[in-house]
Amino acid sequence: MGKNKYTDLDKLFQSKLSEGRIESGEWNDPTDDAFFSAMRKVNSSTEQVKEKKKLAWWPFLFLFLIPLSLLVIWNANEVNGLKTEIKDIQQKESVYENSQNTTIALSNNINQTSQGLPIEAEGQVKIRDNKNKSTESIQAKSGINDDNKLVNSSRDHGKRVQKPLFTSVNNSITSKQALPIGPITVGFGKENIEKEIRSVSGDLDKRIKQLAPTLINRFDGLLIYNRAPVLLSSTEINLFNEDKGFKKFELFLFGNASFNTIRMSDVESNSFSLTGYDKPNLGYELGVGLLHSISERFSINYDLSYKHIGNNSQFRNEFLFEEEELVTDIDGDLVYQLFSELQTPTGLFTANQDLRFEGGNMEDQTMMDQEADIQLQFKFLSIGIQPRWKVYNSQRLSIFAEGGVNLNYLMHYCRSVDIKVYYQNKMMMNGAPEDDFSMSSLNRVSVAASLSLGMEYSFANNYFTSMQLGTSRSLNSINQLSLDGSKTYIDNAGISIAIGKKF
Amino acid sequence: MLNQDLISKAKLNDPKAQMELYLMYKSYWYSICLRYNKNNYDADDCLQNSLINIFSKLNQFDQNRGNFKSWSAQIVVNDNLMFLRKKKQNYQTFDLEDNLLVEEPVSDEGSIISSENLTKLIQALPDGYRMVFNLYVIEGFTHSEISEILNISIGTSKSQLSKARKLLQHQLEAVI
Repeated sequence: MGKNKYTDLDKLFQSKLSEGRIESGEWNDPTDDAFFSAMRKVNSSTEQVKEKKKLAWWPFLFLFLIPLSLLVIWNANEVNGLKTEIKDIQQKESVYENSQNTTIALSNNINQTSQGLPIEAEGQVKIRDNKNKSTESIQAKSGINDDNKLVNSSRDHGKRVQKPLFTSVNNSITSKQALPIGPITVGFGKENIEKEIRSVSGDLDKRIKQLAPTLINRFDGLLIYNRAPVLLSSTEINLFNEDKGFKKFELFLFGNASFNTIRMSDVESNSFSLTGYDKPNLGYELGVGLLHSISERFSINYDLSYKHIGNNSQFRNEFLFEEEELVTDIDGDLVYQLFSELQTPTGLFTANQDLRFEGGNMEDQTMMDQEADIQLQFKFLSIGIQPRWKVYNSQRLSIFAEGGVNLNYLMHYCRSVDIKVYYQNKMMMNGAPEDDFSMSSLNRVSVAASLSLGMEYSFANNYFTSMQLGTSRSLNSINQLSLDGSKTYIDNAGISIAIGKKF
Repeated sequence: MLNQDLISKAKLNDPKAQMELYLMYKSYWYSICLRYNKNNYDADDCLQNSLINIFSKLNQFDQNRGNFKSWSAQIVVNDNLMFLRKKKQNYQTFDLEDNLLVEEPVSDEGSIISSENLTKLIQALPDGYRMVFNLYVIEGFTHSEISEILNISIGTSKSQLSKARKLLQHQLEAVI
């Protein structure tokens, strides 16, 4: 106010009409209809926004939940089928009660012998002759020393083993043929397993021989006790596994398709004419990642990716057309010299250009509608670190939650503004799209927090594929300092597909 | 403190808080609408638009950065300007003689120089004059800012203010 020069007349009006000096009375007491009508609109628009947000998530949820449900059902059926089969075999076991008493344990996670000797095989077979109370090694027969003491007190053939039968690993078999069983590798090939089982008890039920590889695939471990298969829990397997600090890596390529929205805060009220920036636009991301398993359930995901994000918004304004600003350009065309500032999500854009006059009659001092289509394009290089927790973990399928941060480096930015002027819905003037690549007012580095839920399915030999549904939210503004004080953030929600190999 | 509490509740769409805020500021908001519009019908429409904007943008209001009254007044002023633009009313210059008619007679009750009567004098101004006068004298914008807000040249802003003052002076002399 200090800059303005006021007359006595002005001061008179200020004394009665400035903030805090207005006299209240009937003259400025509005009917409450306006308020109730406004509140109806505010509440209905809030509900519509909520509904819109809910609807936007439904396709993603379905996309994620349907294959997940199918996998879980399929997995459960297969496991139940195998368990039923095991029960049948256990019942048949009584037929063999007095025959050879041999225990075979097959475990997936055994990497080292109790003596600390490295083993080359990724799985092991342990054999115990209960009758002789001594340990028999398959390869001991061919010269490997075997001096383990076993603590098997169970004589109940075919019953579930409650405690580990073995305090240590007594044997190892080298095999370069690995079973394609997913997250955990078994060093036995089918032929090896069948051969070893055959060598221990030649007349073992054929079905056990057929099932053995599958059972190892499906469960953490398999113990064949007196020719009856018994499933081992992870805890029991861990007791076999002397090396607790095992490390596993997964290297993968991933692609992500996401809906990106721009979120603006602290927008001044005179910027309300900027619309569309918060509508979702499709973006994509391609990258490579490394998953480091710290334990069976906990791992850390590191990734490097390229992100492409676009955004379209519209700026609408009205301005006064003044004929004096209409000139003839070098080609003899009639152009309007426009100089105005437009609000965009990445700050004010100064439009200083000639708009080609398209025709129509306009009088001087005419209010015109100015419309600008603003297209933004961002290309980021992103580095992410996300701890992952497996909430469900079986040999083939795991379901996990992941959350972390991404550091985004802005490599490329383009703001394209296309201005057109309308009068009574008829286009009167047309400007050429103007590109701006300047990143001087933008933050080159931004940080985003991400959260996702996903599932990983193992197939073939140590290969896997995964699908993740996630969202990320910018933590700092793209704008460094905007003249209008607004802050702009990029958020997204999308789906990622990855394929990779474990090693 | 009470105000801040009210605003916080209104941000959560608490109908009672919204109503209380409205009752607290309705006269002020409506006075602004009356100042920018020629008649009460248009002022009512503007008030409704302003209420929608105030309550739907309430989450953007930061209590640490300014007071609610000024923030809301800025919205009301902007909505009034928008409303007038939508009506495609021109900022044409008027001859003084064409605009001497005060549409609504000033009230005889109380002082002639009351908020109500001064508002009526402003209402009687042509739209262009009225907007420039309001923005310059009451809202405190400079000519440069007004030229950006209304998309007019600084010269136009100055001349319209000058003409508005002359008209108001003339009308005041007539009623006193």
